[in-house]
Amino acid sequence: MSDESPLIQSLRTAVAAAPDDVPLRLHLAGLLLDGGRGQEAISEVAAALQRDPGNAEAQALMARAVAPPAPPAPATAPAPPAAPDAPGPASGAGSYDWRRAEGELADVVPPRFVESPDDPGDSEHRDEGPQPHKPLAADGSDDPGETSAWEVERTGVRLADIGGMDEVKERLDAAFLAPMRNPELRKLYGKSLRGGLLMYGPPGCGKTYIARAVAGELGAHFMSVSISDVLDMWIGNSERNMRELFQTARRSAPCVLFLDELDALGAKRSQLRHSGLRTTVNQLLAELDGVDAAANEGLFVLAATNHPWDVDGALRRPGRLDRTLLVLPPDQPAREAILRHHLADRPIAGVDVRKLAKRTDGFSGADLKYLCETAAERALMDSVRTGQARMIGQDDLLAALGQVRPSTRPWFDTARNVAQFANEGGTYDDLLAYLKSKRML
Amino acid sequence: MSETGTEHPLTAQAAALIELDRYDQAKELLARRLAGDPDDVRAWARLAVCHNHAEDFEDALHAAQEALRRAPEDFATHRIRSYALRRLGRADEAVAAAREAVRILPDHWAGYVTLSEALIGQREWSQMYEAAVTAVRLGPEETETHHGLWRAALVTGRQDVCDQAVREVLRLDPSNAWALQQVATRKAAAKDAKLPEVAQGYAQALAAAPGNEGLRKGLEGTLFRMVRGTRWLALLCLLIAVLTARVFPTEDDPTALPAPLGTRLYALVLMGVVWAVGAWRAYRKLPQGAKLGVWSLVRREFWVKVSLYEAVWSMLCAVLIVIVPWTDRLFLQVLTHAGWVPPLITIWFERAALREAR
Repeated sequence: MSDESPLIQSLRTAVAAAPDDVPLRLHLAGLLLDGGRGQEAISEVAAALQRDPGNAEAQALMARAVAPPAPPAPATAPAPPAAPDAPGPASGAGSYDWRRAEGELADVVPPRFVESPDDPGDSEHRDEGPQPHKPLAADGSDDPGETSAWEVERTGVRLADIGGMDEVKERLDAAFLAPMRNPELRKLYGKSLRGGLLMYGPPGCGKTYIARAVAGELGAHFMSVSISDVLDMWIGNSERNMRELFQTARRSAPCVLFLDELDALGAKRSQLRHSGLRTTVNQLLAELDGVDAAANEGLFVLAATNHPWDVDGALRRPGRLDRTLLVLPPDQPAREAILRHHLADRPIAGVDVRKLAKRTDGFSGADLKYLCETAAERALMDSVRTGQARMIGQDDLLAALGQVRPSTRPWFDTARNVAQFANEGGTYDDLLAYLKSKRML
Repeated sequence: MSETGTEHPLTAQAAALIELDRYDQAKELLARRLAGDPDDVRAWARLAVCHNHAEDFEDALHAAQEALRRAPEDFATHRIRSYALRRLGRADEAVAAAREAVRILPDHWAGYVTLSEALIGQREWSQMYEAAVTAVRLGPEETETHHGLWRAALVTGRQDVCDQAVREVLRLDPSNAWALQQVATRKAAAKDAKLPEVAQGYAQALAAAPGNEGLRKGLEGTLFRMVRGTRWLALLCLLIAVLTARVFPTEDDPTALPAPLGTRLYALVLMGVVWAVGAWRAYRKLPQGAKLGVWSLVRREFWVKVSLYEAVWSMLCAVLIVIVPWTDRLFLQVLTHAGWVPPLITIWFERAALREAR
């Protein structure tokens, strides 16, 4: 609400107060349209037309504003799916794709001075390093049957290596690690090892890193599978490759199998038109259930997603990914640790990290990294301009702080609605509690 | 793989990525594919879809034309081209491209949906409507055809058809976010709309489309109206207090102060009934998320806060009037004026502002 012009805000208030005032509504629609907010304009024009059918001005506005679904990606059959870039029943009401925009902007991020292999703050990007081999090359030239496919690795990371985030660690320990570490107690209480853990939260907050740390804590092997692997599997033989993935993990037990971007790997089948992707989800469900009770013994399935609401409900049933963990932006001690880490190899002077950590509430690890890079860039440009190298100071960081905004905000805007209106069975109670505590509701 | 036939793996991967809304990744794969084989028609067409999604309509048009140069009878590509042309404001060419798609597959609903959409650019409302009806006839089980019909019916003023189209979409897909949004908007537009029901409609739609800011604003607008309505309840209670506490006695009524305790207690009961019927019942009917939304709104929005404080203030005056056994009528009258003036002034200003905004 706060990021739109005062005129639009006041018109919205006026329309809310007088919903039957068609000219007022059309005025608002016109402004929204001029501001490039076609979706909202269409809603307003539609509401106006419902009140005054045949209104010529509304029709004209609709003609301007309406953005029907883009034609579908062509398939061999002449009934391709609609592209989800415009309002339509299949796509829901569209909104600006912040994640895509972030991806596009990634190339213009200032050059990095330090590429650290142990970056607790930006683990989601960094951890893509030692990816397992894919079962099929992207160009489809490999034969998945002949490759051993999946690489199993050992991680040296422990939970203690993660700065701050004590609450996450405690909950992870209680919900997942303690039963794993105490087989006798587990037997005594009849606790099965079946079931996995789904981590969710805003992007760039260290879910992948936590998965690695869990593997480290358990002394287990680590295997990671992401969307690119899924697509490769789909092109080859998704069922066989998925089976092979799980078989490799079972052979390597104890092993943590990490399913990254579960919203893609386990998307809601009802929303998938492509049978190849649906088959993948079905096979994943079958593998999570295991062929017999002991099949998945020693196999710990962890998954991560930024959009748990897009994950197929079947994946979250008991025995599958039945435990959830909310991974929030780093708390103050964690932010302090991340900032220290990113500034460690840079020439700094007089930097009050604690003060910075206090002022970066809501920043993800990736945001903090970007903050440090922006400050470094400022000092660099200054040095180039003056011809005299100087250290990165508190002023540079504070100036950068004025430019960098937490990238988690759009996620919370959506998550807030989910927690409020789609919290069936209390799935998002922890998120709701967090939002309340941060006065974001 | 069965769906993709002999498609190149990269082109097929791109289709899956498009399905998962990962247009940038799809674009990268398609660029790689086209660098290796510029004659892959499917790759060109999908690249056009990606460009359309990014609103790079010139690039989309170029990609679609590349595809059509190699496969002039490609149905889907004509549709993609029509969309890009329409968004570029080239309405006549968009219609021509859509008609070409219809010519190639005259029995397929998708071509008529595209034609209906293209005709909106020419403002050919009746033809647009006819094309949408044909699309529904050919594809009655496709949500897109009903959505197209809804759009055509909307601009031609056929509200009954709009409602039917929304019902059909919900029949096919009960959790369809767009249709739920329409239901909520329709409820909000109804003259006799009950605000808790409107709020419930928005809440349901938000559960299906949590990222929709328009729905959120619609809900917040409804909740704001509910909060503002509490001022009238408070003023009604003030009126009850004034009448029972003998603040402005007429010749026929007893004038002695204080008013009898029983009468004043009766006034309190009446006030309780007003709030129970007027506010508490409505609040209880709200879904949990909307209840949270009320308090969130009160905390965040200045004018919502003002409305609530005014209701509380008027109510406080009303309660003071009846619970204290006042013997001085002047005090009572001061309290009365203090109770009604602030909310009524604000209401007057709100309406004046609304008139000005018009």
